[in-house]
Amino acid sequence: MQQIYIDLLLSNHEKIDASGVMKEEILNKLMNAVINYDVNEAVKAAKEAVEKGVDPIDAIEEGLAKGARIVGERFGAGEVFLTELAIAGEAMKQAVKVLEPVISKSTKTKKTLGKVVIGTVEGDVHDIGKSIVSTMLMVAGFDIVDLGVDVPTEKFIEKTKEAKPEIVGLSALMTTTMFKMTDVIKALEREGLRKKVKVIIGGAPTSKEWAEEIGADGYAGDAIEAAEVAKKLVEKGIS
Amino acid sequence: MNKKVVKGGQVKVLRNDQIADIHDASVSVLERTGVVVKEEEALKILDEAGAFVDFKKQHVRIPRYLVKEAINKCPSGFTLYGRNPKHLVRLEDNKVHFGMAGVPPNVIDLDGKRRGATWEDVKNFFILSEGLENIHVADFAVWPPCSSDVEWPVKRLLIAMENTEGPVTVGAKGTRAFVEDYLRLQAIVRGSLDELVAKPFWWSHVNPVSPLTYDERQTRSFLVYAKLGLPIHFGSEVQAGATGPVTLAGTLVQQNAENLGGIVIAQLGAETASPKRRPPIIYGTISTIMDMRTASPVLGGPETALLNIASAQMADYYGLPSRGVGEGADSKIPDIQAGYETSFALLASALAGNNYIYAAGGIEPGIMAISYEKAVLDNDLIGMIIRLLEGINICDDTLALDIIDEVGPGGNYLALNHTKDHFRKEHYYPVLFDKNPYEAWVKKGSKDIREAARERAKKILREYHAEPLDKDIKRELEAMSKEILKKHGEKKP
Repeated sequence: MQQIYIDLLLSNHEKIDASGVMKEEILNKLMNAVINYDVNEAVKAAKEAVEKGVDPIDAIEEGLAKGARIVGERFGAGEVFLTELAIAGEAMKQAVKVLEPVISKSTKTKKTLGKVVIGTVEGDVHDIGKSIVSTMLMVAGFDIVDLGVDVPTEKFIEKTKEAKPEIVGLSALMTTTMFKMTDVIKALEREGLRKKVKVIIGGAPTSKEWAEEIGADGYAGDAIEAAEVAKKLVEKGIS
Repeated sequence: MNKKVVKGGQVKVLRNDQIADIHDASVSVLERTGVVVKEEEALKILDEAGAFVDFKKQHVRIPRYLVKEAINKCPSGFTLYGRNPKHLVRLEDNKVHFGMAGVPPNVIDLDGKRRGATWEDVKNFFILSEGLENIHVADFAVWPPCSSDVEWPVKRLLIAMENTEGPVTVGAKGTRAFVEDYLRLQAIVRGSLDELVAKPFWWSHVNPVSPLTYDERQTRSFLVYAKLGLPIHFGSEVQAGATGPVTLAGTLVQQNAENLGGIVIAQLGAETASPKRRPPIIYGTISTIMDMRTASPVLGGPETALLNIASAQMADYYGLPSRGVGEGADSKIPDIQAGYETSFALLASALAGNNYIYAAGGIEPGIMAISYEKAVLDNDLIGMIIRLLEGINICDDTLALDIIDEVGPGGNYLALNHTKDHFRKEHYYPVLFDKNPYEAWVKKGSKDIREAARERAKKILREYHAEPLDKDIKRELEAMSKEILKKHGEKKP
C-alpha cells in the first residue's frame, strides 16, 4: 500500500512539474495570440517565455507556428480573410523579434522548410501582394528575407549571396516592370548563383507562360499557390 | 460624328454637410500627415509657395490655403478635340461621355481566346470606339506588354491619327525632354504648339500612388503639361483595406487628399511658366475595395458604385469636371455576372454625372482583360443608360392632351403622325439586344446575343474607316517619330 502511494506521489510530481505546466500555458498563449490576431498578446507571451526560460525554438514551433498553421489552413478554407492573415503574420513576426536575442541559447535548431529572399522588382512599388505571399510562406514554415519594394537587381544578388536562400521570389504588378524579372534571372546566372536557387515569380500581369519564357522555376497566381509551389520546389531539391 | 450627350448627376449619396466633412478631413490629411513628392522641381515649387517641405525625406505638408488657391484657378470644364477639331467632347456640367475600359494587358478576342494584347488590338479598339454610336472617345483600350515608355505613346499616336477623326486618348509620360518632344509631335497635327494648347487632344493622365505619394515619372510629366496649360487628370486608385482605409469614407478622404495635392502641384507649377498658365483639371476616381479573399481590386460591386457617385459630388463641390470608372465586371467571361456587374457600375457612374467614364468591354478583377464582344454589348447598355439620363420630356406636345382626346376611349394610337414623329426619340431601340418574342427568336436561329455581338464587332472593324490622314501631316509625323525614337531610345524596358 505504501509503495503504491509513493509511486503515485512520484508520478503526480512529474505531471505537476511547475515549468512543465507553465511552459504549456505559455505555448498556448503564444498559439492563441496568433489565432486571435492579437499582436500585443503575442509580444507579451513572448516576453513571458523569455523570462520563464521557455526554449525559444519550442516557443516558435509549438506556440507561434502552430497558431500560424491553423490560421493558414483556415485561410485556405475561406474562413479567414487576408486582413486577419496579415495581422496573424504580424503577431508572429513581432513575437519572434522578442525571442531572437535568446535563440542562440537554445540547444535545438529551428525547423525550417528553407529560406526565401523575396521582393518587388525595381521601379515597382506594389507591396501588398508580395507581403501576403511573405506571410503565407512564413506560415507554411519558410524563413523569409523580405527586401520590400523597388528592389534593384544588384540588391537581389547581394542578399542572395548573403542569405543563401533556397528560393528567390520576384513580384511585379505592372506590365512595364515585369521585364526586370528577366534582369534578375540573368544577373543570377552571371554571378553563378542561378543553379543554387529556385526562382518563383508572381504578380497580376505575369503568368505561367511568362514564367516559362523567362526561365523561372515556378509561377504562383496567389499566396496559397506560392506556398504550394515553394514546398514542391524545395522537396525536389536544388539541382 | 459628335455623338449624343446627356447630363447625369441625378443621384447623390452624400449630403452637403458630409461633403464638407470629407473636404475638411482631406485638407487635414494634407496638413498633418502630408504627402511624399519624389520630384525635385515640384518640391522646390511647393517650398517656395509656403508648404512645409523636408527635402531629404521628400515629404511635404500642404497648408489648406494652397488648396483653396489652386482650386480657384481651375476652370469648371474644358474641351478635348479629335484630329478633326470639329469632333469634340465638352467635359462640363455633368455631361456624360463614355470610352472603353482602362488599359488592360489582355484581350478576349473574337474567337473567345484570352491572350496578351497586341498593336493590332490597339488599332482595332480605336476603330471599334469610333464605329460604336454610344462611345464618345476613341480609346486604345489595351496595353501591349512589349512596349517601352517611348515607343508606346509615339506609335500609338501614329495609329490614332491614321484611324480616328474624333477625340482620342493619346498622351505620354517619361523624361521631361521626351514629353516635350512628344507634345511637339501632337502639335504637327494641329499646326503649332499654340494651336495644340488651344485645342488639346487629351490630358496628362496621373494616378497618385496610394497612399499619399507622387512618383517622379508622372510628376515630371504632368508639370510639362501644366506649364503649357494643357489639361491634367488626377485620379486615385485607392484599394480600400490595402492602400487606403478599409472604410469607404476613409477611402474618399485619402483619394480626395491625393487629388487635391496633385492639383496644388500642377497649378503652382503652371505659375512658374512664362506666360503663366492655368491648366484645366479633371478629378478622377478609380478607387474600389480590395477583395479580402483574393487580394484583387474588384470593381464590380456596390462599393465602386458608391465611390463613383461620391467622387462626382466632390468634384462638383470643387467646381471641377469628373472622371469615373464604369467597366467593373469581375467575371472572367462576358456572361450574366458580367452583365449584372457592368450594369450596376455603369449606371451608377453615369447617374453620378461623371464627365468621362472608362466604360466598355472591361472584364476580370482589376480589369485585367477587355473583351471585343463585351465592348459591343456594353455599347447597347450605354445606349439604355443615355436614354435613362435623358429622362421624360414634359411639354404640351408630349403630354398629348389633344391627341388623347382625338383618339378617345377605346381607340388606338398606332397610325397617328404623333406616334410616328415621336417614337424614335421617346423609345430606345438597342442595336443588338434581342427583343423578339420567343417564336420569332427561335425562327431566327435561337442566337446567343454574344454571337451577334461578335458579328457586329467584325462588321465594324471591316467597314468603319476614318477619312485618310493628310499626306503631308502623315509624312511629318513619321519623320519626327523616327527622330524621337532615335533620340530617346526605343529599347524595350
